[in-house]
Amino acid sequence: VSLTVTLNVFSGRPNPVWTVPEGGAAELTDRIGKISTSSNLKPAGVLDGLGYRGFSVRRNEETSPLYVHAGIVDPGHATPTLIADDREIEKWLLTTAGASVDGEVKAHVEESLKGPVSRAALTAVSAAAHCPVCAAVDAPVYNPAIWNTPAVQPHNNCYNYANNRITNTFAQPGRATGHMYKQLKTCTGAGAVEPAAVSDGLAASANFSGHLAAGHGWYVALVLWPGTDYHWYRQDKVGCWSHKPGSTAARNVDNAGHAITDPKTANRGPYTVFCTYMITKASVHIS
Amino acid sequence: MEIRPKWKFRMTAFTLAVLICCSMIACDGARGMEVELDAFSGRPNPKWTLSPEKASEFLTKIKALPTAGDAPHIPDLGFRGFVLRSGDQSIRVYGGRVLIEAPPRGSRILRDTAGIQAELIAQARSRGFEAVVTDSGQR
Repeated sequence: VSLTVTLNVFSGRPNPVWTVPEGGAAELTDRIGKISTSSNLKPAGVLDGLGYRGFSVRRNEETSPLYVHAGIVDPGHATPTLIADDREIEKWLLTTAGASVDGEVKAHVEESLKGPVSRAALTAVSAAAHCPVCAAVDAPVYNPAIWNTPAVQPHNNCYNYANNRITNTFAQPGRATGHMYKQLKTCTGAGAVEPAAVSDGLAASANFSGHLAAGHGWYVALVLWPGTDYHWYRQDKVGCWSHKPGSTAARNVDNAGHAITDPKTANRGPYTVFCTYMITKASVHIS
Repeated sequence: MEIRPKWKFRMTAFTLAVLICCSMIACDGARGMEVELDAFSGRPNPKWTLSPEKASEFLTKIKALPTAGDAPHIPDLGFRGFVLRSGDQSIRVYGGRVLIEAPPRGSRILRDTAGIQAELIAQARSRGFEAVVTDSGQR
């Protein structure tokens, strides 16, 4: 089994990709097997445009890649991440690049790898969250790697992410259905965001505990920075919530770096007004 | 009317000099600069453009800033600073720091001792974004 490794480092140019020959997969499995700390939190990605953003590793027979960054190994599906004490797996992956990564880029990554494991990872270890039960069969899997790429991240916002729909239009509630919100002072009433979302096909919900069978969607939550902006969260299959603040990376921690067990009680910065939980589904129209 | 070769030469030399001069100014950052107020999640972030003169002034100030040893913690939600874009260069101004993002060479973190963020906040206020920079504790 060989490994295909992508070094996530560029914004404009295609990222370097190379293949690690036979034996590489076993070495990686061995290295990952030595990590004993797991967490519900996953790598949040990094600030856009900051250069080194980790490695994506794909085993031949698998469809989704493993994501390794800042000491965090994310298997890429609904399983806990592994938190390493150091950056050794990343350093090893870089050594497998050979001539696929030029000297200047290699020096940049080596410099980045001198830093400690991410603060988010350390927070995860100290405050591993007990996620609530996810009652929605259709709830999306938390997989930030899909969203945190140069082609997707800048053009999709919190509404795209909550609805699990990449449109590359920075989707606005109600725009697809001709009832875009006109004011951000109140959650409901004329021109507000909630009725705009209802127009797109979402439905308000008093809580996120009711069972949603297959085809009946998943839970999202709407909050307001009164008079200024709105924001959305979504509940993932693991039970905790995640979000994508504007054009920044998708993540599963709140403004204080904690796992989000309920957006109503999470640290939301200036988005002080909790409007409502809502139910969205694959058939909603957004643009 | 026929232009004499001597004048032809002078005109060509003048045109070349103008072109070289303009390109040097451009290299110095005087191409105008986009400012993005990075704060929103649902709505698109506000953007405006600085004049070439103002852009050049900012870049000159930034070049003279001292290196900082630490990066600011940038929140997920709310005011995340200003992103200045000129050509391929992207510069984030937040929390008393100026982060020059230039992959693959990596980032440089500088101390904002020239009041760049304060000036950008004043610009944001004058464009009607008072609440955005005030609600987030940036005064």
